[in-house]
Amino acid sequence: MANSAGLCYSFKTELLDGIHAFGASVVRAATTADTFYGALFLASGSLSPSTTTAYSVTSEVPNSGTYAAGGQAVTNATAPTQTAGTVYWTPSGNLSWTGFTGTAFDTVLIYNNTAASKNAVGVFTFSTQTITAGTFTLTMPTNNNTTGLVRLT
Amino acid sequence: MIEIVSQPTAVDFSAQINSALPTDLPMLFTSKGNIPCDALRYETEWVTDQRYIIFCERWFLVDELVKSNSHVYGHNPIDGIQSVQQSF
Repeated sequence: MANSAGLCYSFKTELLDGIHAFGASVVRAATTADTFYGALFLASGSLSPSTTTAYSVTSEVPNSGTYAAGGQAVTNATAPTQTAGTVYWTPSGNLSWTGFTGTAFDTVLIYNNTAASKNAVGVFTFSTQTITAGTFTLTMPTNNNTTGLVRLT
Repeated sequence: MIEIVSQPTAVDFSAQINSALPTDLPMLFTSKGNIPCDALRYETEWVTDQRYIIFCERWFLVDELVKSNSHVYGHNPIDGIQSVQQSF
């Protein structure tokens, strides 16, 4: 048995669990998991992984039906998991809005609603959608090491 | 002194539902209000991409879009974040 180099698999899991802070961090109010939200944004917006750092109402779809500013809480019943060195996390429920009318939107932002600054997690885009008096559903991917919503490989 | 508080009872709508006449038209909620399903034209569309699959449903009254649904399945939605430790 020889030694081998690499980032520890446990470390990747602990990053998603908020255990390590190489830079300035924040005082956490609790040891429980944070609450994450998903919000919809218009295709005319400019959200991107490189520029979006937090949730903002700018270019968010207007309130309609069950959609209200800030979006909807994502169900988080499954903690980050590691398989073959990849740590992954996926919301355990879908996002859905009913009685909804929204024009030309193409983005969902997942963000941390517990954090005071509403820090962004990820930007997910799809082809531009327009919903009229209907339902918009975002079905989450299979929670594994190749398709999970958030993956550290 | 004992105060008796009446509890609200659930309303049973089964009788009304079961008494629906065969002539009752199934309706669909649209941007124009409730419209008989038969009056609407229904179309579907599938949009596929490496990252998602979208199923769209649309209902038209003549040529006007009066209701639409979209269901997005993100089957590989966000590229993974690669973590690499540099060798010494």
